[in-house]
Amino acid sequence: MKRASSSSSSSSSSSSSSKKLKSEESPSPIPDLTEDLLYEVLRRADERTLGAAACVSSRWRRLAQDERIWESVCLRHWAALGCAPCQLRSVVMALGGFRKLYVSYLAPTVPTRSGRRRRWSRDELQMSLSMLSVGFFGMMGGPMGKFPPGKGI
Amino acid sequence: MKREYPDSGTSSSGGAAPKGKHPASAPPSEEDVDELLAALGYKVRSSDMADVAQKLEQLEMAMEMGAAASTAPVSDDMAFFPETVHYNPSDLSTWLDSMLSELNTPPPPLPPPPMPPPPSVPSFAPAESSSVNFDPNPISQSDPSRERKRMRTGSGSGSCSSSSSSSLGRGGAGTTTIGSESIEPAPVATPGLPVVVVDPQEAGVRLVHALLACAEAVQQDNLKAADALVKQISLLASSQGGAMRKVATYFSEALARRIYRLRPPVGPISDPSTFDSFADLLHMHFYETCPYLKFAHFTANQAILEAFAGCKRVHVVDFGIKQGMQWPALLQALALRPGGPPSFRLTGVGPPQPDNSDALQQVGLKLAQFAHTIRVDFKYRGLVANSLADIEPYMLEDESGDGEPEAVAINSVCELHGLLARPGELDKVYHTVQKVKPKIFTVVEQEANHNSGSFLDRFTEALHYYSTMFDSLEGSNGSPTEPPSPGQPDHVMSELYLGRQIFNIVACEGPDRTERHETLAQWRRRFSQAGFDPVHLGSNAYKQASTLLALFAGGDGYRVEEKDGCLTLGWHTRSLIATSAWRVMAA
Repeated sequence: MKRASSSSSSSSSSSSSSKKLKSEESPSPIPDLTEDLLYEVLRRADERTLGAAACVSSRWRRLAQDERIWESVCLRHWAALGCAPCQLRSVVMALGGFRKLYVSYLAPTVPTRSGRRRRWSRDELQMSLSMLSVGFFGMMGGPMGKFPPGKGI
Repeated sequence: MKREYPDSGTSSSGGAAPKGKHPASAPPSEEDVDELLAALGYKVRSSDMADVAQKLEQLEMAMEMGAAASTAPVSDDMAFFPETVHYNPSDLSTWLDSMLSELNTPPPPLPPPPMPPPPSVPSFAPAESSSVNFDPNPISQSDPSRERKRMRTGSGSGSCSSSSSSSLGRGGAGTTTIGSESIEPAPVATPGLPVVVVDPQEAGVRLVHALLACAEAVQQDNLKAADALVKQISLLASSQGGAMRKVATYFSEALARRIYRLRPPVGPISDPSTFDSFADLLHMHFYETCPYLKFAHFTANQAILEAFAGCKRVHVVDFGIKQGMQWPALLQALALRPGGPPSFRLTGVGPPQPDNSDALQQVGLKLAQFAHTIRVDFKYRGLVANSLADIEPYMLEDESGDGEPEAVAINSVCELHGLLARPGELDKVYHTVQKVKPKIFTVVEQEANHNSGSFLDRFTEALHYYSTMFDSLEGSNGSPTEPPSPGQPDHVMSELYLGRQIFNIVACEGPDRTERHETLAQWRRRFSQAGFDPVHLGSNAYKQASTLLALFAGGDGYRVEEKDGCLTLGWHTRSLIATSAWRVMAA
């Protein structure tokens, strides 16, 4: 994870003084990036990094869980999109969002941690979307209530 | 059952007779006995034998007196432990002491011998009216003896005494198997190898043989033998673990129902075709815990999606809508197809509800809500029908009839085999389908022949099929996104779902027997004769199925195969469910 570029750009003396300042005034070592900058950084990060970033602070979490970021995570991996991106977006957002799609249905298909930047085939995409639909349907209120209770699928 | 000691013990010089028996019986196997006993924690020396015999006699007399006082019939041999004692006098020394003291005083807790607890025979106890005195007694030795004795009564043919042994199974003592024939002369010749150590595999084989023997007895209407075998099966089953045990339990229960003619007409436990909320629950659990139904839905959906390519108005008829779990995925796929979704109409067929609730309508509402979420134009109609043969073409007609004609797809997941129970119904359905002229008729059925005329053949087939099914439930961990739950409650529900099918196949006959599964080859013949052409399912469906399996943690054992344009899903080498697609033959 990238530390803020601001501290590295400053000279060593000022960095040490800023460190002193930091330890004096606030316990937070998180560099003070603007939201836009942070978003840009996270947008290029991989899934593991995003997961870690979401654990930093509530602000970081809000940004790391942004649907646009996860949409690009998912799209990045899909070899061929059968439909228009806006079409996909509206359906996926209605059914729970890209992050949920990734976490619940795409991530399990990645064999090991080392399988980064793996391109998913259309079938895997379609399967994960189907599962997302089924999961959403199951969680809808209805005669059987939510089924299965508490589970994702 | 002969009671040797009491017979000889009625004379006053009872001590002599038993004593006389012992020297004759003890020596040949004494080393074996001690070895085995020692391995199990029993310690009896030959010098104790006489003493033991005497105690036996005392015990016997005490019991007789007790019997006279109690209400248990004296002739009911089961109630008395001395029966079992006959077969293994060698382990009696301490046990007898305690037995005797028990009879005289409230039972002190007996230090259990160092062996694992015997299998749960108590399932037997009620049927055999065991004496109340000894039930709360934690004496574990008595159980194996009792079991062996019962095995003897029960076994006309061979296998016995394996259950007690496998629970006591210490490999150290070696695997000594004793068939019934050797136990028969045992009380005289050998005081009995008191424990038979059989490895579980052998017990498993015996279990299967017992099941088949029982089925054969039922087929030959030899109900007495069948009854005895059923009890034996329960015993053997309790010695097994895991899938084998469960399968055997269900099959033996089904056999028992058949023997005792307990054919509950329409009940939640036995009738799989009852569309009640309990059946729904089981169905959904089965959907969740293993991939068979998901496979069915996804492959059928793929075929329907391809058939609907380019159509602006589509109509799907679901011959068994249940909870409508198949359709969200299709709706989503249609929503995402290039060019946008068609306008979608769904007709859901279901049986009448016992409680008059409108389940069909509720499913429709839920699906409509889903369709609305993803912006697919959706219409729904529910059709209540006792049987699919009641459906007429006009019921499926497009009432709005504006502009473009509908493309129709008919979908049947495990619904057609029920039609074979009543003659002519399948033909009627074929006729109706032909009239409707669907673009595609997707059919999913269990890949097995559970409809042959011979009961034994059916039974054997079903035994293999459901054993494989239960194995796959056991072997798979379910979906990786589910946390592994202790005790796996979902599996229990799925097992019961399958169990109900087993009950139907084995215990029912005639129109009640609705689980008339047939193989893909058999269905192919039927469809061809009825005027249908096969539609090949295509590589997309195959890839979808493979992806589905990849998502299942237990996917190692599952196999997707393509057979002449149809797809089957199986566990290892055995196909269990098959999807096929058909269209009306061009005239």
